[in-house]
Amino acid sequence: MDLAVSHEDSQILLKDKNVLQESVVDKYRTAGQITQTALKYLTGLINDLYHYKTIQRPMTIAELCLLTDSFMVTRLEQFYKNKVNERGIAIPTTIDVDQVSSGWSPEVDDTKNLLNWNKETTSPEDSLFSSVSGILKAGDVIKITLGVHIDGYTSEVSHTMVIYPVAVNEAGATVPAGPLLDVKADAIAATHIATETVVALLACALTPEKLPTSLGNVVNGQLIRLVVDTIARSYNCGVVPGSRVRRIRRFLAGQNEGIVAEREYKGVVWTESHQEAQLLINSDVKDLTVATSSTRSAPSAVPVDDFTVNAGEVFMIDLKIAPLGQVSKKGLITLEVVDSARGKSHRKDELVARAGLFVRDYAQAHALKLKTSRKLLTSIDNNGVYPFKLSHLSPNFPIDPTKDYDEQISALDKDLKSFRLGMSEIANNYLCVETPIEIAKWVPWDHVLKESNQNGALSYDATANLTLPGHEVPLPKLGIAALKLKSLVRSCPETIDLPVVRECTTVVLCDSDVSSGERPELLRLTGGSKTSQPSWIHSDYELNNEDPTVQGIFQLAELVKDKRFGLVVRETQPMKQTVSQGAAEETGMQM
Amino acid sequence: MSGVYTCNSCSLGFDSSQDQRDHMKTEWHRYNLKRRVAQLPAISELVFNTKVRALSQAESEDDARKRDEKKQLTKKEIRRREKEALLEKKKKLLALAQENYLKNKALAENQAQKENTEAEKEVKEEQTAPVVTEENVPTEEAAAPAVPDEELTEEQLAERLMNQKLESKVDIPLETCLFCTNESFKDFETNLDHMFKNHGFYIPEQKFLTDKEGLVHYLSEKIGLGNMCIVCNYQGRSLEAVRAHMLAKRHCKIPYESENERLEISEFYDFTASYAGYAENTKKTQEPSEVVADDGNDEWEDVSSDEENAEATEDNDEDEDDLPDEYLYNDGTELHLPTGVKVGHRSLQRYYKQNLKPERILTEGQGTLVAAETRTFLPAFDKQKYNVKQRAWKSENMDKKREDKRHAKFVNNQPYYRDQLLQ
Repeated sequence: MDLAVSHEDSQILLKDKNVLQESVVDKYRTAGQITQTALKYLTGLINDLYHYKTIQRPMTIAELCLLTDSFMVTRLEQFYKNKVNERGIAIPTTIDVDQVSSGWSPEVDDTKNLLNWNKETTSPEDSLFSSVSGILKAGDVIKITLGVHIDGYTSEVSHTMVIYPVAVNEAGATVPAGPLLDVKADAIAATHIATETVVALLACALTPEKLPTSLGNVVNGQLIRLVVDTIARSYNCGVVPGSRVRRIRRFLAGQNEGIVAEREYKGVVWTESHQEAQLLINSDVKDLTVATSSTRSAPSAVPVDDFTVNAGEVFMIDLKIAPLGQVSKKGLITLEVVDSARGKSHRKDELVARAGLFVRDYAQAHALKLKTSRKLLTSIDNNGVYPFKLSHLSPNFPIDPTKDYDEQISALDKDLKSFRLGMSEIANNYLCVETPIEIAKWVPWDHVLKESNQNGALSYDATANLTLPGHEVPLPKLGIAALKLKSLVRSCPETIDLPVVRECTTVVLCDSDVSSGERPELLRLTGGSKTSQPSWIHSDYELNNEDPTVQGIFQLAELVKDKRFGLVVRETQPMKQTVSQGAAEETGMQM
Repeated sequence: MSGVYTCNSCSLGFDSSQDQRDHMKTEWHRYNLKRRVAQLPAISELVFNTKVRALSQAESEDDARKRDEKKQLTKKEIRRREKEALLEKKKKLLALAQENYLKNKALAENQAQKENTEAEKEVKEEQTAPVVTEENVPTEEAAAPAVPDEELTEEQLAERLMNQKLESKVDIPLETCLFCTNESFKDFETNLDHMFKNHGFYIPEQKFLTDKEGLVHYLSEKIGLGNMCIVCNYQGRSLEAVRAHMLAKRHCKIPYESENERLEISEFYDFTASYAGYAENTKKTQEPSEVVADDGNDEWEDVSSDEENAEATEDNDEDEDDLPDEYLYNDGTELHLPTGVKVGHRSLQRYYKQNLKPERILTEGQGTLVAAETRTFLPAFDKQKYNVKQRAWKSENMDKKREDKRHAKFVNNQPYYRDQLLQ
C-alpha cells in the first residue's frame, strides 16, 4: 500500500472528527431526515404500485432503485451545499425479495439479462421469480435498504415490507386482505422486537442506572448478543450471518467491512462460527484452525464482544433474521454468494445475476490499460468511499422528473455499456470489489458433521470474499473453510433457501451536552414508528415471560414508553411533502 | 645621517627608534619604497611634498577625472576608451556631413527649379565649396597656434579631424560600385544591379523608398568620407581598408534590423502609405518581435503544458491593461510568447520531458479509510533488489567452485605414496 496518512492526521480523522458536537449531530440529523424521506418515498411508490394500484405502468425493481437513488441525490442537493466536501448516497437502494439477503440492486439494463440468464425461472410460483422478473407479487417479503451521508456522517436504514393481497373495507379504503401468517411472520416479529430492544438497550448505555437488573449493570457486546439471540430463539428463528450491531464512525459505516480491516472495530457480529459454537456447546471440540487473527491484522480490527457501549457514539443496528419453521432438525444458516460466472442457470432454485454495487479498495493501485477504465476510475474516486452503482457515475443521473423518462433511461443504458467495459478491468485488478448478492441457505447440521476434514487444522483458503478479520474460517471448530462450506451447501440435497427479514436503524447516543433536552437522549436517525411501521402479521410464537432475559426485555419496552422517568428516544421524522416530491409523484402518474 | 637607526630606502639616519618608526609610517617613506622597488632613486621630502601638492591640486580641479585616475586603468581599457572617444567624434562628423549634404541638396533643388541641369551642377559645386571653406576657416585659425592635442577643446579637435577627413575624402560616384575598386558602369541602375548580384547589396522596403540615389549617395559618403563599414561601423584607416573589410566580412548590405539602424536611413523612406489601416500598422510594429522569435527558434523549445499555457494566459489577462497585445519577454528561463505559450530552453529539455506521477491528494473519506486500515500487504516485487540477490548467489557459487579447485590441489592422488619424513 503506497498511501499513508500521518499520525496527526489520523488522530484528527478517526478521533477528533467523531466527537459529537452540535454541528456533527446536525449533519447526522439531516442525513437521517433525508434517509427517512427516501424510505417513505419508496414505500409510497411500492404501495401505489401493488396495493393502491394508482400507478398503471409496471415498474421493475431496477427502476424503483434508480428512482429512489435519484430522489436521494436531488434531496441531498438542497442541504449543506458548498458547506461540506463530500455528501452522497451511503448505500444505493437495494430491494431484496424473500431469500435474497442483501445486495439486490440491478441496473436498468439488467432486466432483460436476468430473464435470459434464468430461463428456468418462468412461473410466478418459483421462489426466485420476483427477483428475476423485477415484478413483485403478493406474499413477498421485501427488504428495502438505503442510506445517505453528509460529510461522512452516515445514516442507513433497512425496512421490511410485505406485499399483501388487497381488499376494500366498508369505508371504501384499500386495506390488506389479512395478516401474514407464514413462517415469515415469525421472523418479522422477531426482527422488529429485537431491533426495538437493542435501541432501548443502547439508550440504557446513556443512563446505566435504568438498565433492568436481570440484564446486568452495563451495556456490552455480550448483552446485545444475548438479547438478540433470545428473541430470535423465542420466535423459532435464527440470526443470519452478516447481522451486526456496530459502532459507526465518520466514513466508517460498515460499507467497507471485509475490505478494510478497520482499526478499533467495536460491535457485535453474527457469523457461522457463532452458530457452530451454539451447536457444539455440549460436545468437546477444540478449535482446529491455526490461523490466529493477530497474525493477519491488528487485534483491534477483530470484532469481539468485549466492549462497552459509551455515550457519544453512533451505532448501527442491522439485524437479519430467518425463520426456521420450515425445518425440523438442527442446521446451519449460511449465505451463498450469487454470481454470473456460471453464465446460465439450469435449476429453478439457482440464481444467476451480477452484482450492482461496487466498493473502491483504496489500498490497491494499478496502472490501467484502457482509457475507458481510467476515466471510470477517476469518476469512482471522485464519487467517494461508499458503495456505488455504475449508473451513479453517468451524467444522466439523477433522473429528472420533469423530462421524458424513457429517453433518460435509454441514455443511461448507453452509458452503462462503456462503464461495464471499464469496470471489468477495474474489478479484475481488485481496484473495486463488488458487494455480493447473498442468498440465505440452510444446511442440515448432520450433513456438515459428516463432512471429512482432510486438511485438518490447516483449513484456510482465500476464496471467501468480504470476511471480517479473525472470521476468515466460517466453522473454525470443525475446520471447514469457506470453499468447503460453499461446496457443502451446493452438494446437500436437503439445503433449502430461507426467507430473510431485515431491519436496520442508525442511532446517535447524545450525552446531555448535545441532546435537545436536559437529559441525555438517544437520537434515532432512521426507522421508528413513522416510517418503519411493522407489517400486519400474526405469529404463533411469543416471548416466554419466565425467562429473566425476556423479563428484562419487557421492562425495557416499558421504559421506552415512559416519557417522564424512562428512556428518552427521539425519532427523526421524514420531511414534509414538498414540491420536488410532488413532481416525483407526477412522473409516477406519467409513467 | 648619524645614529644607529637608519632608513635604507630614504637613506636617512635617526637618533631614536621612535623617530625611525614614525618615519616608516609616513607616505613619503612608502613612496620611496615603491620607487626603490621600481629601481628608481629616492627623492627628498621637499620634492615629495611638492609632488603631492601638485597632485592634490589637480584632483580638486577635476573630480570626475580624479575618480577615473584613481582606478588603475589597464592598457586594454585605455585603448578601448580612446577608441570609443574616436568613434564618438566620427559619429558627430558624420552627422555634420549629413546635415551639410541635406542643406546643399535642398538648395540645389531650389536652384534646379530655376535653372537647367548643367547650371544646377555648377551651382551645387559652388555651393558645396563655400560651405566647406566657411567651416574650414575657423578650424584653420584654431589649428594655427600648434598647441599639443590634449590642450585643444573638443570642438577644435573635431574640426581638425574633419579637415583631415575632408582632405582624404574620395568621392564615389553613383555609377561606381561601392565595394569594388574602380568598377564603373554606364548608369546608376546597372551599378545597383551589379552590387546586388555580386555583393548582395539589397535595398530593403523598396516599395516605400523615395530617394534611392540619396540613400546610395549617403552610403558612398559613409564609405568614402568616413571610411566606415556600413554594417558594423568598423572604422577603417582608409577607403581601401574599409572596402577590404566589407568584402572580407561580407558586410555589403544595408542593416535593417534594430530601431537605430532603421532610423539611420529613414529619411530616404516614406511610410505614410502604410499608415492607412491600423491593422497594417500593428503588423509592422510586430515585425521586430517576430524576427527575434525566428532567430531563437532553433534554440527554444515549446513547452506545451496546458497548465502553463493557462497560467500564461491568466497572466496576460491580468496585465492586459498596461501591456501591449503582442507581449514577448524572457524571464531568464522561459520565453513568453504573445500567444501565451511559454517556450523553454533546450538545456532544460530533460526536465520538460519528465512525466512525473502527480501527487495524489486524498479526500477526507479516503484518508479516513487509509488511516483506519490495518491490513498488511506483501511488499511489492523489487526487480533491483532481486538482481542484487542474484549477483550475490552467482558470486557465492563462483567462490565455492574456486575453493573446491584449491582444495583439489592438495588432495593426495598417489595412493601408495609414503612420505619419507614420516618414516
